[in-house]
Amino acid sequence: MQLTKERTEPALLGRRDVGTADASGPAARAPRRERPDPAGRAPHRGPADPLGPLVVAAKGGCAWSFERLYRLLAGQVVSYLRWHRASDPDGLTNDVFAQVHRKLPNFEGDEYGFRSWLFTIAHHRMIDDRRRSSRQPPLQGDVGLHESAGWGDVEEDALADMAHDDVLDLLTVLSPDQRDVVLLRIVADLSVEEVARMLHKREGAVKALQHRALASLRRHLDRTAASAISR
Amino acid sequence: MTYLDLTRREAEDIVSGERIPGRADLCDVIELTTFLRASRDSEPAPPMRPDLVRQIDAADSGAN
Repeated sequence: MQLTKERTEPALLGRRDVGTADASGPAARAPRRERPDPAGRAPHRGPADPLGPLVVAAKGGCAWSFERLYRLLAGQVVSYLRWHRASDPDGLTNDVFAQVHRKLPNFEGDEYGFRSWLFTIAHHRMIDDRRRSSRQPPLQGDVGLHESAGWGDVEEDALADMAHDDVLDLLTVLSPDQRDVVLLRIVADLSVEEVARMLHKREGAVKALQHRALASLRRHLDRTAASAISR
Repeated sequence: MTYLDLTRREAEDIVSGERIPGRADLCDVIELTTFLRASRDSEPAPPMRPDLVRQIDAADSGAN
């Protein structure tokens, strides 16, 4: 993290709220959320979600809290944008958080609402970026697709890039709607209800889209495996 | 409702990261969703641009 200075933690927020790992690294991911499951299954177990107090403090203008939110969530936003083949995922992520920061005083909701709101802004930025890119001549190379840091050594990087490229190719078998739903559910970790609200669809439509998307992916993976065996 | 031998419930379980006992035929698609989740969790936050830092600083000094 290349911040200009390290801020002092407000006394209101204890260390337990933000974790002890170096928040600039991969270990700084926000923990999985825990919430009631309408289907009655056991929710994912994890540490208490630290986002709530940070959102409240950041809303009040606390810079330290906003930076913590950035460190916890910006990696997930950049990942979401990267899987959508955004032209500049890092730059767009900064744009997303600049917009979040500007509008935060008017934000109403809890930590789940904040997360959903954040990814709604990221999704709209991604759509704007796609429109912009379609009007411009293609750049040399796949800008933004191979910039992911933190995988490890060169060999691991190469393997990760190969896997990354394979998955990017695989996602192209999905319709845009199916891809939106899959990435919002899995990468953004949003519920069916949140995705439905964001995409202005009924929950049943979101479930149908994710169902068809996974069936398509499965069919494509089966074909790929079959053709690899026959070679 | 099933589609290519995949129920809606199974699709929801896969997306939610749940295990699906007895469905070894779904391991490829489960592996894919696991990869997406792992790549999200290993993605570092990008550097904060100076203009964003300035914006946050300005709001902080205004709030104090």
